[in-house]
Amino acid sequence: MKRSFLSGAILTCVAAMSANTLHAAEAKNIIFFLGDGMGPVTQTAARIYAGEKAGLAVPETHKLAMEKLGYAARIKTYSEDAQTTDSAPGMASYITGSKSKNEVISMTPDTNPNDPSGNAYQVNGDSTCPTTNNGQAVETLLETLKAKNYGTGIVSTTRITHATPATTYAHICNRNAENTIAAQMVPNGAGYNTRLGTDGMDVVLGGGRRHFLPTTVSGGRRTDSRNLVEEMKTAGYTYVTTGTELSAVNLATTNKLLGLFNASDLNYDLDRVKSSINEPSLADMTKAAIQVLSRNQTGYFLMVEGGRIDHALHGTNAKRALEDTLAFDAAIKAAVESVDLSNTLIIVTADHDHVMAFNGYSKIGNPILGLMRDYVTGNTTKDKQGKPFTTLVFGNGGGPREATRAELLEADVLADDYLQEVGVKLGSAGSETHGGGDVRLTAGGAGSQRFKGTLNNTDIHGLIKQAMGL
Amino acid sequence: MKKTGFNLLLRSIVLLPLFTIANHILAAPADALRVEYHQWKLGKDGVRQEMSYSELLYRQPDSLWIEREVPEAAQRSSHDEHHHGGLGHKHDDVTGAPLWIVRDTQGKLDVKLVDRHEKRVIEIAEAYYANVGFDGHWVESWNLADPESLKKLKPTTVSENGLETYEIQRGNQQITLVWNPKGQYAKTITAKDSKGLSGRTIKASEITSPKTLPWAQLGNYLSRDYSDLLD
Ligand SMILES: [Zn+2]
Repeated sequence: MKRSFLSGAILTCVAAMSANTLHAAEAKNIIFFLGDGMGPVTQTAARIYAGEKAGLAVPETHKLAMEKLGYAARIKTYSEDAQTTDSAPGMASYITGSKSKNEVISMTPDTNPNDPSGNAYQVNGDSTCPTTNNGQAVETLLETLKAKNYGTGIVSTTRITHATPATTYAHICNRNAENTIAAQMVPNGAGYNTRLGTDGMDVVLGGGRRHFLPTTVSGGRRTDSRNLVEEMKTAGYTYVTTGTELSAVNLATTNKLLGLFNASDLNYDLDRVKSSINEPSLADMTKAAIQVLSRNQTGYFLMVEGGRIDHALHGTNAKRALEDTLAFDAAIKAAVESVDLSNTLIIVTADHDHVMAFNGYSKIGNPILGLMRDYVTGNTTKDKQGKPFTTLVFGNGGGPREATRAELLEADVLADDYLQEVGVKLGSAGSETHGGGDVRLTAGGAGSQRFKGTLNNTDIHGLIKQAMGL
Repeated sequence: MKKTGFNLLLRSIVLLPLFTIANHILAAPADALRVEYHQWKLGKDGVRQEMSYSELLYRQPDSLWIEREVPEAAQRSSHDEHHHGGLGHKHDDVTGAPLWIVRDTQGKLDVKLVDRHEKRVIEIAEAYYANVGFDGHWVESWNLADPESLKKLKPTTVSENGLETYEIQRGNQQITLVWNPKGQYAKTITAKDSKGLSGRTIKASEITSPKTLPWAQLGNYLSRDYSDLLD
C-alpha cells in the first residue's frame, strides 16, 4: 500500500516533469507586437486599404503580414475595474499575467491610480503614489527574462514612457507619472527598477525625450533637474535622435542602444512619409532592435508597439489610423523576414478595441475610406436626410467645432484630415473612446500552436512562458 | 513728457511691420467680429433640424483668436465630475476652447488651443488641425471668405456704403455673399440648395475690441501639446 502510493507519486512527478520538458525552450526568442487600439474592424479596414494600395482587383482578398501567422485567438480585454480597459492594464495583463485597474502600470489588482476623492496620484508627470498600502509590483515577462540573462528591448512609436512600453519595465500606480517611469529605466540612478539587473534593458527606441530632460532644457519636463539622456550615456548607451543617426549606428558592435526621436510621440506614419520627417519607421526600429538583441546566446525579449493607431482612432481620423496600422504590419513583416521562426515566437495582438464600425452594404472593391456605394446599384447610399455617408464611422467621438456635416463629397472623405462621423457626440478633441469588444491575437513561429480559442488577456503571459520553457 | 510721448510713437511705428502700416493707411480692417452661424436641413422624414452658434473673432494682421460663445449654464455643466490631475488627465474637456492662430512672415501657422480651465496653452501640430476644428486656411478663417477669389468675380451690386454683393452658384448651392471691403470680412453668407432641403447663414458684425487682447493674458499658462490630450 505504502509502496504503491510512493511509486504512484513518483510516477506522477516524472509525468509532470516530462510534460514540462516537452514544452521546454520551444522558443528561444519572443517578439511581442502590440497594436495599440487595433481592434478587429481596424485590422479588416487596414487589410482592404493595403489591398487597394497594392492595386488588387479585389482588395478584400489581401492578407496582412500579421494575418499570415499560423495561429489565431480571440482575446477578452476587460480590466480589474472596467469593462473597457485602457492601455495600462490592457498591456500589463499580457506582460504580467495579472489584471489591474485602469491607468495602473504592472501592479497588483488592489492598486489605485487616484486618491479616494479622484485626484490622480501624479502631478505634472511626477508620481505621488503612496509608498504603502497601494499595491505591489508584479513581475513582468521582460524582468523574468532579464533575470535569466536574455536580451531585452522595447520599441514604440509613442513616448517610451507611455503606458504600453512602460508596463514592460516599470511599476507605478498612475500611468501619467511619466517622469518617474523614465527614471525607472536608468541603470543605478535614483528610482531605478533594480529588476532590470545591473545594466538595464539593451534596446530602447521610441519618443518621449521630454521626460528624460530637465525643464531647463527646451521642451524638457523633468522637475528634478536630472538629465536622464546623459545618465543613460554614462551607463553605456549609444544615443540617437533621428532616423539618419539610427541608420548610421554600427549595430554589429552596439550592445546598448537608446533612441529618442521626438520630444513626445513620433509622428503619424502618414506625416512622417509625406513631410519626409527624419524619424525612423517602426520597421526600421524593429530591425535595428533584432540585430542588437539576436547576438544574445540565451535568447531575447522584444516588445514592439504600433502606438499611434490608438491616437488616430481617438481623433476619429480613420486614414491616419489605417496608415499607422500598415506601418505596424510592415514591422511585423520585417521581423518575420529577419528571424529564425524555428526558435522565435512572434505574437501580434491589441490591448483593446475602439468604437470604429464598418457600415453595410458597399459593393466589393469600394474604397474603404470612401463613401458607401450600394453593392447592387453602385450608387451612393443615402441616409434619411438624403446625404451620403462613409463605410467607416465611429460609435462616439469628438469631432470638429462645426456641429453638423455639410454634404460629403468623395474627395472630402478621402482627404488626410477627414474625420469620420460619430454617433454619440462627446465634444472634446480626441475624445473617442476605447471599445470593450474582444480583439484578435495571431501567433507564428516556435511554440505558437498553443495560442488558439477564446482567451483572457492574462492567459497569454503563461502561454508565452510555456513556449519558452520557463 | 513730450519727449516720452514722441518716443512711444516712434517705437510703435518701428515695431509695426511694413504691410501693417500700409493696411492702416489704406483701410482699417475690423479688429473684432461677432459671427453668428445658423444652419438647417429638412429630412426625408419631414423633420427639420436647426443648429446655431456664435463665435468671437479678434483679428490682428498676423494673429487670430476664435472663441465660441458658450452660455454660462452650458459652461462646465459637468465640472463637479471632472477630475483634476495636472498633466495628462486623459481626454481633458476642451470642448469649445478658444483657438489662437499666429502667422509668421513666411505664412507658416502656429495653432494653439487655449484651455482656460487648466490654464494651459496647447500647441496643435498640423496633423491635429481637424481635431480642433481648424481647416488650415488662414485667409478664410480671418476674413470668413477669400478676398482673392472674390476679386475674380464681379459683384452684382455695390451699396452706397461700399458693401459688395456676390451671387455664386456652386453645385446645387445658391450662395449670396456680402463683402465688406473696408472692414475686410464677409458680412453675410447665405447658402441654399436648389430643392430647399438645406441652408446655412453666416452673419458677422463688428464689435469693440477688448482693451487687453486675450492672447496677452496667458502669461502664467503652462505650455503643452496635443499629445497631452491623448491617453
Ligand atoms: Zn487610447
